[in-house]
Amino acid sequence: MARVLVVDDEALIAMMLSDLLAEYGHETVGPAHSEGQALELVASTPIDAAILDVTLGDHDCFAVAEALGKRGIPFAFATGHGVQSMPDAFRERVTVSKPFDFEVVRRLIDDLVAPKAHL
Amino acid sequence: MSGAGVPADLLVVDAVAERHGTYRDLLGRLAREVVTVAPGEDARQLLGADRFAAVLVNLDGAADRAPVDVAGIALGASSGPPVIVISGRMAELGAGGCPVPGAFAYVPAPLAAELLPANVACLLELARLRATLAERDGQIEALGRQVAELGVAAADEKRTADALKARVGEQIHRSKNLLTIMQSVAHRTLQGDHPLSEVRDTLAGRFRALARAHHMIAMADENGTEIADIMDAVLADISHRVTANGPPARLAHSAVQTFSLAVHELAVNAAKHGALRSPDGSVAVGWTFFEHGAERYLEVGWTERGGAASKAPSHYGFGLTLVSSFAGPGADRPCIAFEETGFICCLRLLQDVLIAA
Repeated sequence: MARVLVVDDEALIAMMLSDLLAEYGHETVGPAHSEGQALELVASTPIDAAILDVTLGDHDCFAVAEALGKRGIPFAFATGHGVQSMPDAFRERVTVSKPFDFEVVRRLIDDLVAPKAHL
Repeated sequence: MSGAGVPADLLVVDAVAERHGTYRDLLGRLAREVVTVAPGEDARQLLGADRFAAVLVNLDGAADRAPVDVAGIALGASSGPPVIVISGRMAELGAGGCPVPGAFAYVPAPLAAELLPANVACLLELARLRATLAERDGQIEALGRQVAELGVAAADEKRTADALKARVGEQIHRSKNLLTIMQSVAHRTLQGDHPLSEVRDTLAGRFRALARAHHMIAMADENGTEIADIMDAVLADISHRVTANGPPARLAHSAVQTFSLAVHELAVNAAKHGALRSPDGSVAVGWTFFEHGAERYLEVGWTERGGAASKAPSHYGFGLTLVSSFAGPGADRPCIAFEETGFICCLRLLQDVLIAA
């Protein structure tokens, strides 16, 4: 079982990701609905992996992504935009598109929490 | 050099009629017609006729000042034809420093047979070049204006296209977001072992609530949506049993869908399990601004009364889980209570989803 941080400003979408994580045998950290909540959790809580919604209200999630990167925590993005709208620094990161393909999400989470995953 | 291309005739003003024939001989090849006239009223009228490519005025040989006056009129018309002043006494007249603009030449008298046509031809060519230059200048100016107008039009077009592209992008994002929310709602609603007919109604109700919220967002401008309008729309079916009060408060687009759905869930729960099951039951909805540290938030209270005592369920379903996501600042647990008097809860909307008045 891994502890996976879920960051999405839409409570309903975060709820679904939590459900899916539970279904796949993992525990949800959060969910965080804002950049501030997410940064606080990254700083204070043990986290094995994270799924980040790119758009958080008026903000984006890239500050959270950087904080995760610094701590060496694997993460992936979830977005309704295309990959081409991602900043260069994160373009190589795994991105899962919305609405979700549950099978893709399952594989993504498997990859993120795999013991030797260095995404 | 010739005056070809310049329409027109030559006008010669000379008091000495005997010289008129000479002008016609010397200048005949430079003009369609060489008109000769003595200074006076006729000369003045001809000057105003606008048919001459150039005007020659011989100042010598007249008893009065008439030729000088004619020359003055001709020279004074800055846009008029070029003027050639012929005189043996030019130094006395002071016309050498004549400040009159436009083409001007001085030919000393007595006339040298080859000098006059050469001068006239030169002057006509000069006038022609000036006319061409003026025409080109006009064309350049017109082209410049056209280029500027095209530039403005192109910039307008680009702005419109960019704005449209941004709006389309925004719409696509919003639609995908809505679809993902619908996916989440369906995912949640289809869990559990409720009968299919019930699940179908529940899902349809939730999708209707989302559709109403989506419509409100689409109709709203950048100032967001008034919370009272959301209440009116979501609680329309039970409006006779609900009182809704609070100060003006506007919600950002991003919060409208989830908030509307949460209120929809509360209304459905009130009808299914809460105060609205009893004929005397009612719901009071009220909202107020609060401050918690630096954070300002809007607290929306939902109070059911007049029904049976409420009982906490064994676990939170979709509605209460959704309501819990509005716990707000400093609140570890959402404000949800099952009282003797009826169900009570509050939803807190943080500053980042509120739009300042």
